[in-house]
Amino acid sequence: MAEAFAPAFLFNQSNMSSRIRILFCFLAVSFASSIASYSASNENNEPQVASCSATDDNNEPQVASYSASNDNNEPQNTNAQRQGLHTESAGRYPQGVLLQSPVSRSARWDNGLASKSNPNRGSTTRQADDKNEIGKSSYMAKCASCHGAAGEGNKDHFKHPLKGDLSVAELAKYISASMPEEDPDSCVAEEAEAVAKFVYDGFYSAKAQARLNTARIELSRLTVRQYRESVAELVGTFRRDFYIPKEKRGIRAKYFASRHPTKEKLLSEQIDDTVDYGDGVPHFDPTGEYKNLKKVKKKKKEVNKMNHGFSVYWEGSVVPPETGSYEFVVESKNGFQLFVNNLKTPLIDRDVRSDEVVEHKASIYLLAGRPFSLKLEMFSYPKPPAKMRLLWRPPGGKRHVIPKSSLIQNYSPECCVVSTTFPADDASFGYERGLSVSPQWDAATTDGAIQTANWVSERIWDLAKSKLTADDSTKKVKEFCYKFVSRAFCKVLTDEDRQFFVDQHFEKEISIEDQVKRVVIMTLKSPRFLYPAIQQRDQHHQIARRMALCLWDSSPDKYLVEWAIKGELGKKAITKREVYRLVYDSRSRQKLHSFFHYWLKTEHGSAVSKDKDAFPDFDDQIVADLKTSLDLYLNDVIWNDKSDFRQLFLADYLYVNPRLAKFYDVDAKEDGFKEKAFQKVSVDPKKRAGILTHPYLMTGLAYHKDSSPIHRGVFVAKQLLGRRLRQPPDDVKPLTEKFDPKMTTRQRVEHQTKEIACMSCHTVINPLGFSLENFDAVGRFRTEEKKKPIEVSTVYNTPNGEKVELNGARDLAEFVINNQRAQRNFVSQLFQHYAKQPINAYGAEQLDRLHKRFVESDFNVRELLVEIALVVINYGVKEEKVEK
Amino acid sequence: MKKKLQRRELLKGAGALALAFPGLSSWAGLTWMMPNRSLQSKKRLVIMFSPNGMVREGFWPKTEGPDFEMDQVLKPLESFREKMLLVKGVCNKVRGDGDNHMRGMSCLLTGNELLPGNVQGGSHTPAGWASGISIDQEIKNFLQSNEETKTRFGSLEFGVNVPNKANPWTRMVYSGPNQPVAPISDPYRMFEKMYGKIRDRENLLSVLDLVQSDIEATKSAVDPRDLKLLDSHKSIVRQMGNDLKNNQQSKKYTAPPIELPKNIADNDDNMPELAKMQIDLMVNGFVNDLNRTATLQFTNSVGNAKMRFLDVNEGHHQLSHNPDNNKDTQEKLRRINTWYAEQMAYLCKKLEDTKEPGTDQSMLDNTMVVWTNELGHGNSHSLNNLPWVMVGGGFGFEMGRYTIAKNTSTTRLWLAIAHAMGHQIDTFGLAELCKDGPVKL
Repeated sequence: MAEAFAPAFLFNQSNMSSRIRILFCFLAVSFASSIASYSASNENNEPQVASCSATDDNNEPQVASYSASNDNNEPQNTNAQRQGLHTESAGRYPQGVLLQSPVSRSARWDNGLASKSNPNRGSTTRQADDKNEIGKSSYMAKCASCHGAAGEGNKDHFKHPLKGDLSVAELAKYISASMPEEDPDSCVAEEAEAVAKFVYDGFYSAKAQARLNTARIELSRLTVRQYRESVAELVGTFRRDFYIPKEKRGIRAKYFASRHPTKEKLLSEQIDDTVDYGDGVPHFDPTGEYKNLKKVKKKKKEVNKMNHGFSVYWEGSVVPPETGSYEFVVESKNGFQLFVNNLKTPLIDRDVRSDEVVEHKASIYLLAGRPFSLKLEMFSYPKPPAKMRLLWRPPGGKRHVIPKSSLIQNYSPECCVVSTTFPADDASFGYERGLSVSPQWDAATTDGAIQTANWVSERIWDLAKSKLTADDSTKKVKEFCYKFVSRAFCKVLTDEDRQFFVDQHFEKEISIEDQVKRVVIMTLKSPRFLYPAIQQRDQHHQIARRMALCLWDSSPDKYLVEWAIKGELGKKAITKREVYRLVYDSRSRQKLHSFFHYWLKTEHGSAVSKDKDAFPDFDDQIVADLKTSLDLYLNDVIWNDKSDFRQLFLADYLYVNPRLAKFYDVDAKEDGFKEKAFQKVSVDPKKRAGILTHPYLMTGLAYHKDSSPIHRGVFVAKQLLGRRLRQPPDDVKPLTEKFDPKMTTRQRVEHQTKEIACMSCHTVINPLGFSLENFDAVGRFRTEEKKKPIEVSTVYNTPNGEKVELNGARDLAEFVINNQRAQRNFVSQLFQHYAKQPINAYGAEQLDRLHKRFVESDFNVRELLVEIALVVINYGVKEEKVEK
Repeated sequence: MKKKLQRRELLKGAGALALAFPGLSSWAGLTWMMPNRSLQSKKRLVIMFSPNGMVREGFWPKTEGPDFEMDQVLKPLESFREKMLLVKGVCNKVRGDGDNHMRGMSCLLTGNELLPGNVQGGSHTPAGWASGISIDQEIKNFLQSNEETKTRFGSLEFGVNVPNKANPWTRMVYSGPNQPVAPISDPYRMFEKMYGKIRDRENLLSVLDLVQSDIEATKSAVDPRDLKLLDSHKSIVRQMGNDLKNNQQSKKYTAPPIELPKNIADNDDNMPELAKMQIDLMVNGFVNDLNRTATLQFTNSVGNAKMRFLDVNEGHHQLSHNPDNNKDTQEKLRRINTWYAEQMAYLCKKLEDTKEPGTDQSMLDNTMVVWTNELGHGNSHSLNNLPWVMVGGGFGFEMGRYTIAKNTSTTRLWLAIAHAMGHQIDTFGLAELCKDGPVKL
């Protein structure tokens, strides 16, 4: 490894002259804390450097954590100061982009470095090097008193650990010019170079950091999402499979000319897009017409004879887009019953109606991406035309009619949903993971276990396929329990397991329900369930467990269980086929969907609001539509044949419904809209470029009234280009329009960040943000602001001092997709979202390898998922010899 | 809102539990305070309901007064003759929307008309829920408004084989207009309501030690650097176990919660077991003073339970439509109603045998049990001459006799009972049906 540094060093030196301008920016701040720049040379065309930089990205935690920690309700971050320029934002996610709790961040850094006492560990393994010795002794003599022997910092002098992205040459230049602070002339030229090299190799560079913090796969408990999904899937293996068709949406509806449904009185059997009949449901009007009945089965004469009452049955399932509590709202004066998930007990029971109340609501907890049976029965009285609307309020969202896209036409098996509130998982590493336990978490899992135990015991006779009065009822129930435990732990039970987890409870003089409950509670509280990696199992079960966890965040479904029991999952071909099956499943789509919203920082985007005077037509409905538009777009790109990562940035189309088409002035075909649905429309490729300019992102990355080049720049730098940015200073408020009403947004930003202290980061941030200045605070394309033309042309400085001219969004998009660091950043983030472990824990070369495969596959995201899954699944598992 | 909460209490499954146990604190801190108060003033009311009218032969005595005959149906109550008041002539005079079964049920304890609604009965106009509070809830509210008589629940609504349908035929208790209260028909669920999630806690406690040993057993398989995580997990589990144990010791009841027989399914064949469980629970609750009023609802109006345990294979409602001259039917209906009388006798005996906590008094002396029906006579669907049997301490009523109070509205009976319970109201239900004030028996 160490040898590779030499060319990098030389290379950087040879380019030093071109960097003077950048270096200048750093003069006012310590180089160590200016993490805005980095040494990785992905943007550098030198091939020999590319190989050396390969592992730079391995040390990802800091990169990702910077942006992630505030979006997750981590306890340690709740006290983060939120003020000033870097916190005042229109949407919610810009905060997360810019702000990070000083406490949690520095604490982590301290952890990372303070415990490592030997800065030389990496470099001393090679042949003794005079220069290195000089560097070391010089550092110890002149730098260590403030920066610490291992660059860990010093509370009194310089508290930030020395680590960052500058190249050796840049470090040397900086040291030479400004260090030590009290006497900058005492360490210059070759000595400064030696110190720089020592610092860089010892602890400063990402590679050194990766070496110092050797990553390993740590024992992790199920994350909250994994817990809920695993329970649902575990219980689901005892039920029939569910099915979500890709195309057919809407809900089945049957209209009857009678209070109770009979075949003879069926008027129409049709598919309704939504249940949204504010002006009255479809019916037969005895004076004349079939009102909105689509597939009429009876002639008028027949109907006239039997027109006694009426009833409507809507049957199908809802597929919730997010996990959480949904408030279902039925607007009707009629008698009705609404069933969700459980078709036996109504969620809202208006079987008897003796008041004039129109609005009825009740909440239920649902899991994203799984279908939940929905039945709505409506009946006389009053007689038609009678109003009926079915709405919901998704978690954190606004109330609206349940959209066609969330309705499917078939019933689904009842799902066991754990609705307990859990403490949020630690996401400070850029992805949720379960590295700690707390009494709150334990109490929540206990609630979850009891909920599940009650759910199971109430349905025990269905699940065990027996009944209380049957002679062999106990035997059947025990058999169910064995299977339950076996599937929960994903292993073949031993006799001791059977005795310990099942039999001993059946020896107690308690009711059979309590026996079952004890089995379930004990199983779900067992470390074997809560820490999936803890259980030793045969390789087939191991593969099944890892595969389901990696691709679905759940426990194995019934097919994986079958393959594991057959002992065939270890076969390469079968493993691969199953991986593909899981990748294409709705549960995997859901996980990928959550990744994109995480990566794009759009997880909480629905809370966006804008200045009513400036944007009178921009309302909640537009925001909801924008989210749908983005989701459709992401789906389109990822799940089409090519699944091409680059298309995320290059696509020249948008999904719009009539409302969005109007608001964003997109040229949509009038007849292209079916039933208020979305259509794909082409947009001028010069103006828009994929997600980068998607109005949902642009809206979120903006202020109440103005665009925010800073939010956008930080987003591009960190989330897309994978650059590190140092923590922003507190108490900086953005200049408002009042500062100088004639200034454009860009001019104000330039003015405010022109100080050297700011420029260390803003040389990176501003150009990226300015590239997107064609988009106003609601993401509409504009060519002028304050009657001045929008200026987007700018120069972006790569970490190695290259200057990249950018002229607007499309240039930026092209730059991003061709940028190796951006590609690697994507691979790394996706990997960690799936594996919940650092990528270098799976081998130092893993990112290289996956990136290479990614490039070879023409940036196929789905193929990348398959590759990731295979890495996770096969890690440490011996391959079984393929039978011929 | 209130209605919704009550419904939710009954909702099986996840949501309700999450509500009840939001976190660790709730596991550790579930204790109920038993208020100390004087025992002299206790007065309880139990209203027992059975459906489909009463047989004429074999129930009504021929002789008015203290020497009334106790025929086949009332025979089981023989030993309570001295404490019984049997009243003939009680009529449900509420009219308006809905058929007689609906009104018979939903107006029986409310004395109020049904609201216009969407439920079409066998005849008459469609209707909805009752438009007023029921007498048990009225008295409960009165008792709950006074610190001296306030109890944890105030009232408990027991059911036996009540179908899982919410309509005016299945609801007689109302907490207010348009607010039916569902009886709890599953004794296990009633137990949970009364004594909390004791079972859940017991089940949990029974496995916590095992979970700890399980954690210990898995340690050998993990990287030594991960042991810290498991150790802290284990100590959290141990702490939860300790909290639960401490909590259990601190709980005190006058009488421990009864042990219910296990695995009794909710079906017609198990009616005798279910009835006994519910009655046992009811008396157990009284001992622990959880409530002062209770209802015990057998099936529902038009209830069609098949009481095969009485060797009756037809449904009750179906039988009740047969003419009076069908001897076989009459015999079966007598058998059915005798069984109901037995249930009342079991309740009364249980109350009689139970001492009022801290005293030598019999609990029955502080309780009034009223048994009635939604109809007077099954096949005619008459709302007149409802069977009306009162057993208990009397509270001022002259007990030990059979009396005929011709053509008396139920509301006047309820008014009299309210007064006997200490609740001095002028009218109950429809005011015009209370013109003559509480009935004097």
